[in-house]
Amino acid sequence: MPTVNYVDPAGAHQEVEVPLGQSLMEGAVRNGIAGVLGECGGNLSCVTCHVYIDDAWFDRVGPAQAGSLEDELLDNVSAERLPSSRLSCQVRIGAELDGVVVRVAPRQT
Amino acid sequence: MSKTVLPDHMTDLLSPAAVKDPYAYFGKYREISPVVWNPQWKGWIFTSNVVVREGLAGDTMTNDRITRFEDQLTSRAGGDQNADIIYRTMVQWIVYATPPRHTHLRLLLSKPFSPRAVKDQKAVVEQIIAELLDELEQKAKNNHGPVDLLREYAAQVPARVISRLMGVPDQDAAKLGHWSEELTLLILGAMGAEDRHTRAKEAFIELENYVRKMVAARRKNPGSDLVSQWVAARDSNVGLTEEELIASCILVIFGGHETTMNLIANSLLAVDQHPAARQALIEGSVDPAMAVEEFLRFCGPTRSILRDVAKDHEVAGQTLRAGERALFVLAAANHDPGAFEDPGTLKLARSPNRHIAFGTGIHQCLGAPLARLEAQVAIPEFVRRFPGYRVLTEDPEWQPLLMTRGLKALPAELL
Repeated sequence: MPTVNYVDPAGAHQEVEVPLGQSLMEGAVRNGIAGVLGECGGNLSCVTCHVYIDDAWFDRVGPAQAGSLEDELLDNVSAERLPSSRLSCQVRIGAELDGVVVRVAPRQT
Repeated sequence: MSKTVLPDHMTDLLSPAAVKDPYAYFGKYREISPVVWNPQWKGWIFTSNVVVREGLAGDTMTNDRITRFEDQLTSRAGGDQNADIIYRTMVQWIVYATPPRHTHLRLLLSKPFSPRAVKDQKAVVEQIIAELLDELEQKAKNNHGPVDLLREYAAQVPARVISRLMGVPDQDAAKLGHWSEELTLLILGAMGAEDRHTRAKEAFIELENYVRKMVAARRKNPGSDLVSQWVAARDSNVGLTEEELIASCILVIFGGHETTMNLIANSLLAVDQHPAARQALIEGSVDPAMAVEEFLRFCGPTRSILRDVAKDHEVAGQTLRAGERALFVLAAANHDPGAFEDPGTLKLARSPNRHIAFGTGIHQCLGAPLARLEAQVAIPEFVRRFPGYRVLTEDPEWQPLLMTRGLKALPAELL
């Protein structure tokens, strides 16, 4: 099973296994990663699952598609929007993301 | 095909026991089955954290009740038309829209309520609450009598905040609050209030006239407020009809008032009953944001949410059919011992705290960031201003409402 390395705003790492096909948001919520709320359950409504993809992994994950709903909604997030910002409910875990490093945004609400 | 049916003595959703302590009442439902058929209410009742969350977030349920409203409109044909004018606006509410229309409206309407936009309102909210506390302190000094914290504080916070956001003068805030309360009778299911349609209709006509005038005024003299933003969106042809614009303004007034009022009042009652929580708030030893999440879980204002079954499916061993109705009891999901340790205990620093007080799924509360901000300021600031406040009733009375957990009054002495 792929592993995901969630880094909290203070810099602490937590490595968890996330089944193929689940989203980064589900992986965080199911494993009790603090700071990822995912309040709407992955329905692109609440913008409370904001993360930054680590530079070393960004090429493989990619940005939110320009003009997509996710892209529009990233303008609404509480913490700063950076080029590496994603709504974690929109990133599905594939084999190529085994070991991906994800930084949790410092605030969601 | 399987259907677990509640025994007759357990079916009254607004029995005195259900109104007083919905957590214990619906806990008994959960013990029978997390999804169970209520033969008196004629629908399914969802009570465990898992089934409530999955039911609201997935695609097995719909909130498209427009068809039902339209049936009500046409079937009356000269009969009770009191509520028709209200339903005509309600069918425009995003609450009942389905994708892709819903997605479009949500993106448009949620901008001013997004976490980003709300962050910028913090100073405004802090100022409003400081003013309200000053007024309350003055009132307490002058008459030394008890005050009703529900009306004189909890209701004032959202009324003034929403008014300020919409560019409405402070002196009109009370009017908006009053109309909103009257509408609650109809929309949030005050069973037994015989005149509810008439009262709600009267309030609604006044409210709608007010909103139409307000929209016209902003169109002429735009400002930076919420209504001006929506008018500009409407007039730039992004796909918002005039009726949706009017209905959305009404929804904001209604939605922003009642729930936040009850969250603040319920929390102040809880603090009065929990000395350790009071102490933590006075000392500032608890993060206000964390405390509010626990108030939302412990005594959140939304008792339950209504949905229709969208397609035949099985859940928790029950067979649900398209078109049946379902009640998602957030109060029960937030007190589910399968999801929370000691759910009946108020722990302001509870972590993790994955409550669903704002619902979940596409209709998850659009105003959640604003409600959180208001509560994060209103509750701790009140407790610090009146650290010895005392609620003057041992056994407060709750509104007999299906969807809402709210008090009838909260008489208190301000010390």
